[in-house]
Amino acid sequence: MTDKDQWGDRTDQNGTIVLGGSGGQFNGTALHINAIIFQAPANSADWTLNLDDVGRHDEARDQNTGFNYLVFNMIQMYPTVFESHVTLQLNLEKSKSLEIQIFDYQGRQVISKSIEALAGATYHTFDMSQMASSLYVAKIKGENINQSIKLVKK
Amino acid sequence: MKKVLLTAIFFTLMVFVGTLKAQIIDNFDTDKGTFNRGTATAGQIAGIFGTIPELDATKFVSGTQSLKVLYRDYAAGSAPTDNNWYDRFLSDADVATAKNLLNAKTGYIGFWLETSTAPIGAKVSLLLKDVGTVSYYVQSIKKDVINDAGVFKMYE
Repeated sequence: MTDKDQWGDRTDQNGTIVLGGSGGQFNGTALHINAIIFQAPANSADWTLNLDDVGRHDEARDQNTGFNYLVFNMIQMYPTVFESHVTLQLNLEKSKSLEIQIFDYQGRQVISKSIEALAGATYHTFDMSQMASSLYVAKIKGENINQSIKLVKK
Repeated sequence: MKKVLLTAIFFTLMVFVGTLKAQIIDNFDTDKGTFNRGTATAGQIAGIFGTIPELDATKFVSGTQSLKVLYRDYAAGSAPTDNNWYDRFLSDADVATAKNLLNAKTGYIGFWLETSTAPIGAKVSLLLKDVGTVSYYVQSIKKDVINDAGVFKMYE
């Protein structure tokens, strides 16, 4: 095993890995993440962490904040199992124009709404009381945001 | 007719590779994906108890779930000689070629991580395998883990 303690030979000035390219170290047709290595001092207290979305993230990369520890724009809808209303909770780093679409299980659009979401925590409620009990998918799109959330109406 | 059809399919695949964007190998929405092994699977686990990762529907970046991992230090007296422990939290993608990431000219590899209980001095890095003519591994820069409950941060 080669432990270069860095992103191999092919790095940009920030030390962030650049895949492939002419002269790059990576000569294969495929890369994969073999392991995530965690390290801590001995006799540490219990440590719980959550991992999500392991892979290439170039679409999520934010040039304004650089490569290091990007703060994610939190997007949640709750309750995911609902009776009449669902709430979209946003916590954005900066204001964004968002398109919210909700589709039924047959792919038919039942709600389409454009919002100007302010930076910070905001809440947007959708009335789905007239919708049939079924599975729905909400899609939220905007700058650097493309998220789908499954919803179930009782 | 068969030959024409195969050519068309191949061409379509090549176009897809050339325009590759974000590519998630594990999002943990339906299962633990390739990171489904206990923390004791790797050889380098001196200093910790092995624990089993779990799916967590209460925290996620996108989709509906994330993977929750618990690290628990050994009891006092069994610390490794270098006074640190480290664990290779393994993917089993070695044998899952469908999980290999196709090589594109630019891009970044990383993951989202959230914790509020990381010990001072905790670090994280990636171990990448280049599946080329000659396969080899490279380890990323070690980055300090940030405690920030409720906020996922990207490490790439």
